[in-house]
Amino acid sequence: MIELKNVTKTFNSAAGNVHAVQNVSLKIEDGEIFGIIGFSGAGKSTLVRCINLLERPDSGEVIIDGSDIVKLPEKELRTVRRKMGMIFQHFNLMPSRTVYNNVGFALRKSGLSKEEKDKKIRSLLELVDLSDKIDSYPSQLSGGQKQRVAIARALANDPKILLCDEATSALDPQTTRSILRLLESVNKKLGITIVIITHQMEVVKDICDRVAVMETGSVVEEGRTADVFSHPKMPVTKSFIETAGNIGKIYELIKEDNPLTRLNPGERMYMLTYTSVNTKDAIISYVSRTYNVNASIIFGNVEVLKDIPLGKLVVVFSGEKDNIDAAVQYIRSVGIDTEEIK
Amino acid sequence: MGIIYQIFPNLEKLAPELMKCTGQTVQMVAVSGIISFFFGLFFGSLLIVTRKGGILECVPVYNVIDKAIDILRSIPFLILLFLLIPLSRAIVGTSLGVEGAYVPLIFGTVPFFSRQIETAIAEVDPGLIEASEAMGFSPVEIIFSVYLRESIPGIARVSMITLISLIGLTTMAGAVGAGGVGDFAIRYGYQLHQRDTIWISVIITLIMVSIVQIVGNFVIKKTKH
Ligand SMILES: Nc1ncnc2c1ncn2[C@@H]1O[C@H](COP(=O)(O)OP(=O)(O)O)[C@@H](O)[C@H]1O
Ligand SMILES: [Mg+2]
Repeated sequence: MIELKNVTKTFNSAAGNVHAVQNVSLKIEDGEIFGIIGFSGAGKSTLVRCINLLERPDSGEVIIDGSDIVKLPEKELRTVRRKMGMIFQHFNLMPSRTVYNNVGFALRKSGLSKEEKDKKIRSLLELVDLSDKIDSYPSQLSGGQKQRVAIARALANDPKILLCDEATSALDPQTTRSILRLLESVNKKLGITIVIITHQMEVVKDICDRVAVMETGSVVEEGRTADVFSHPKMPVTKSFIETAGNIGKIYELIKEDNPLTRLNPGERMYMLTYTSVNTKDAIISYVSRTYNVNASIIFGNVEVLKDIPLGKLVVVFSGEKDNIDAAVQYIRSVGIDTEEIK
Repeated sequence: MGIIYQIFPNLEKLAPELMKCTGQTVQMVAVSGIISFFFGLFFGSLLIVTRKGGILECVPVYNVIDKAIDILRSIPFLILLFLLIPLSRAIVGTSLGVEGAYVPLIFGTVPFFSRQIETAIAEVDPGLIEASEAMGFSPVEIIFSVYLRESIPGIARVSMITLISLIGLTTMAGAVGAGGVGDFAIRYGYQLHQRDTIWISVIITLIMVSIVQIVGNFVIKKTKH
């Protein structure tokens, strides 16, 4: 388990102090895929670098499997680091070494014999599906292939934890998906805890069991991915939901006074947010019949967060004011987030 | 052969002397080059790791080396030759001849070369260092396996430049009695007005420079991927 307790890191520069990470406490359980999402400059990289102490926190504890590694001397810290793999946005492969030797580099201090290393390297490259590129140089590989080599290298010392800092941010959507599938299989097959730093909602949505949302150095929201994004509390979380899918579009349309969003007198527009718990019931038609209101759906979007669907509907209700109120109240009572947006 | 002796009338009788002087130049370049190479790698790497943000950050050490390099580089080589006479006597026992040239040649080369090595190593992607630290490598391992190893093409390039400038320095050392091709040109070409010997010295120097360049470019080509 990874446990961060009140981790704080400030950078002092001529331009002033940057509070990159402020009093962050997190618990990441063994075997889970944990996402840390935030916009650029939120402090995500600094935070993840505090986990393997590439960045030493000014204060706070970094507890890995029960012991605070901040207190360890450098030499022991290096041993701990070998049990934490890390991959990066720009892959950071050694350009002068072949794929084989890039992976082999990580095994230098493993104490394995030459034959054992060879076997290990080959099996790792098989795992990431790159056996045919074994003698290529990084410059001869595509971005996705480079990241696969980096993953093989990160897994070389059988780590229990894999840290990913914007690992898919330099890749196209299709390659991103294939890398995420690989990370997922690594997580399942090898039981490795994965910490994913990203500014991409798709990534979190796709594979993270739990997520922490970061803003200006602090974790502002945290929980199971579906919970956090179905009931976002903070504006920053909401803006991430809007970047994913196209539901954010509705706000633009309202702003532009698009005919689609114009309301007649007595009409009200609501955004309904629902998760799997309540998707199967015919709620809209039920309230329409029961409360004698007209409901027209003008916009809809369903996201799948990890395995849980998260639906958003923009509905215009028309009818008697009291009836609409009652209908909305009913919808809320069955656990659907309902917000009047116009 | 006949044509060559027509163009360079003094070559025939001076051939043994020319061989000897070329040998002296090669010896000076080789000995001080090899020694300077290791010092340069050492100080260049030290600058990189001790600079602000370096993996062994130690700004005082950085500042001392940095300033020492600047000061040594600002002293003209000819003055360095005389300035280092006592030091040369203390270290190699003489300030004369080929052996006497080693100390000034090294002092004239190392600062320049260290700076060049620093620049070459500085081109190593910081991401590689970050990745190596994350893999649990120690600073010394990172210096050898990443900084130096990954900048071999750059090191070959700057070594080539430095070696060529070292060849230039040896001719100056020759002027004050160290021997070598520069000494040959001065004694026969300048003092005895045998102009063809100057051209011979030019050709010999060009050949040496070309060899350095060919070897350097070969290394760069072989190590760059
Ligand atoms: N080594 C550093 N020195 C000074 N400021 C830094 C350093 N690293 C990061 N910062 C600053 O800390 C803040 C957080 O950076 P970072 O952790 O990289 O954010 P993110 O990864 O979320 O984009 C930024 O304002 C950044 O400029
Ligand atoms: Mg970052």
